[in-house]
Amino acid sequence: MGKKLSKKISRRTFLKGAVASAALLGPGIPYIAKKAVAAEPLYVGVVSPASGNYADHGMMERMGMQMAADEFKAKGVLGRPIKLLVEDDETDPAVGARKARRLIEVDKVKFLIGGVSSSVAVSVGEVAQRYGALFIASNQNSDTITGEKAHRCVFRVPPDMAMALRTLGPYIIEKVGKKWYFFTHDYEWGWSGTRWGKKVLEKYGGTEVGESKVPLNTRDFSSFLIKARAAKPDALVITVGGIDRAALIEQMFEFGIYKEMTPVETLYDYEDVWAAGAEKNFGIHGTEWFHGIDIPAVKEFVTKYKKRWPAALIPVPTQDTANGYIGLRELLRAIERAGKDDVTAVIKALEGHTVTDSLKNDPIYIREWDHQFIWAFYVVRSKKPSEMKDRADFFELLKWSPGKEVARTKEENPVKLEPYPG
Amino acid sequence: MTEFLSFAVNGLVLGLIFAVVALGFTLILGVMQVINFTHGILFAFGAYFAFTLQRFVGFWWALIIAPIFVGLIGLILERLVIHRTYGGNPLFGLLLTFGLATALEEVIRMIWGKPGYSVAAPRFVAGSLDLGFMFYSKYRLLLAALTIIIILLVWLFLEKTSYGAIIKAGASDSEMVMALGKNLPRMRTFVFAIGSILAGVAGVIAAPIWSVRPTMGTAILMPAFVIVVLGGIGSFWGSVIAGLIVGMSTSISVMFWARISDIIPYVLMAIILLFRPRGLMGEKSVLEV
Repeated sequence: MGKKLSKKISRRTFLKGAVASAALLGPGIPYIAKKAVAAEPLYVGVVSPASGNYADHGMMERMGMQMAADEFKAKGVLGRPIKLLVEDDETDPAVGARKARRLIEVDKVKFLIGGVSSSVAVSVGEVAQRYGALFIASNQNSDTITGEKAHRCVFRVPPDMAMALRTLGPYIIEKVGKKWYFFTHDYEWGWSGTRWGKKVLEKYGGTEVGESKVPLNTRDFSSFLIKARAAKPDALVITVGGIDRAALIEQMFEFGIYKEMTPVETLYDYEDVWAAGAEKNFGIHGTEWFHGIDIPAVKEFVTKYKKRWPAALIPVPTQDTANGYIGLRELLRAIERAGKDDVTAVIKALEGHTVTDSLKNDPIYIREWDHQFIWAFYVVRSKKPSEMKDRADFFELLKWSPGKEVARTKEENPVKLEPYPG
Repeated sequence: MTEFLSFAVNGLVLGLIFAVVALGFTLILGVMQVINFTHGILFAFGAYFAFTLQRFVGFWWALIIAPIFVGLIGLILERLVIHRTYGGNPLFGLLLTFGLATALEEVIRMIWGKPGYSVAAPRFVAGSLDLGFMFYSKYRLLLAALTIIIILLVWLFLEKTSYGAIIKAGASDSEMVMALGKNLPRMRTFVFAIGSILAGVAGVIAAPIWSVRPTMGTAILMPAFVIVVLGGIGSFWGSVIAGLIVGMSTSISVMFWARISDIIPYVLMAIILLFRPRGLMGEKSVLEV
């Protein structure tokens, strides 16, 4: 009995082995051979939030990066296939720095991209600079990233808050009113937003009627809303992001605050508008990009997105997707222009470069002295549910400013970058 | 003045939610002598169930169904593991429930994902009430009314029913109660379920205020613990009063300096314990040997 059984098993094993070797000998051998001659992949480390306050923003930017990587799939970069190594920064500066260090030290990555939180970008940027790796900050808007904490090894794709408030501010003064109350997310990005808001008020003779510093991870805004309402502002100028903002929007609706003053998001992220829904979409806002910008490149990008991600949570690309896409695409193009994967050569290929196919109304100029991408900023109005043409049609475009007209000048932002690495 | 009144009302509402959470916590602690660290996560389950259910059955049904689910989870936990720690060193229960809470938080992450979600307040109470001398959200006023009703119901149950009397007797002398022929283990399971339901109810009504996220259980546990200690362990009205004090001081501190609102409860606890080591209304507690 035992003998019989063992015989049976061995025959079966033999058969399995035969099938496996046939598979290998057939199409398998050419596959292995091809792999052996193919070049070493070009690894790009992605440090992006998949948890924490900006998790959904991280998801949207990674989708954009994937779209850029897809474009290089056939030909590769310098004949090498592109591999993205994705790490979750958990919206935490310490975690972001640790993951970046691991990507550089263990995975030997020379190029990093990603991130939504400005605080994370600052810490990842410091790591990149120390190790001589190149970091593309794809979705952070605090001034410091291309200001006091600018580095030779860091480039920043989206506009800073100076560009945001200089486009948005004068419009609000003119159309909404001169009395502003500020909600400031109590970290790098929030401070930047309110700081430039106050400068706009000063320049145009407006008044600040109050400011509430909102700690990160605040979900109950009742006290802040009561305080803001008591100050009777024309505009409630909000630089609060992520899930905190979604909660704030719910509670502005709950308290009916939007009926008494105009909510102004200095930098409205589409993910948060989407989360709040049509009924809770009110006010006039600044935004770096949205899918309704009326130029052919954007229409094409939206179509591509829908084809690539038919089951996406948000049916249209957001500013994070566009920035993630542009960031990785320009990095890969720069590596091709440099002709080698050398960090200094790639930095030089990016500095002073102009990108004509930019997904905005103006081309991108990559400033050599502070590494800021200079391109347009937009002012939009929240549409009423009855005005929406489809379920993603949240914004009407009111105004846009070319990046070069609103960006900080060299005098306002006296940055001195370190020497080239290596 | 308008502003101050609105802040005070806001503090009252926060305090009432805190009080409901703390009541369940102190009930379990008083009767079973278990420092139940799963209480926070049961609160989170209440909120998450409500978040999911509201879309299908609306606010009122969610308010009823979600706490029942949470009560069932509590029941299962108690029957399976927690009852084994009764009568032992209170540290056993604490460690066990701490581990359970960590595991259950991961369960929330597995089911609902890592990111948080904001939760809409029910439509029929959208908007605010402006009385001239004060201004407040209608939803939160409704919520205040609900919590007051819940607190009164729990009080009536404990004070005015014979079952409540047995529960209280069981807390002070369990052997005597058993000797009188009462089924003490079943009563304890029942109390644990009630405590869980209170956590669940608080989760449902707090969801639109605090949004839902996996860590919300841990976040509420500390204030609840502080309130129970502040009010005096096992004291019903102590918990309610301490809840209101913590809510009020948190809310009003935002008026002056938002950043200190998080530490206020701890500072209060330190000061009160200096003068009243057993808390505001505490008597010799079960945790003292």
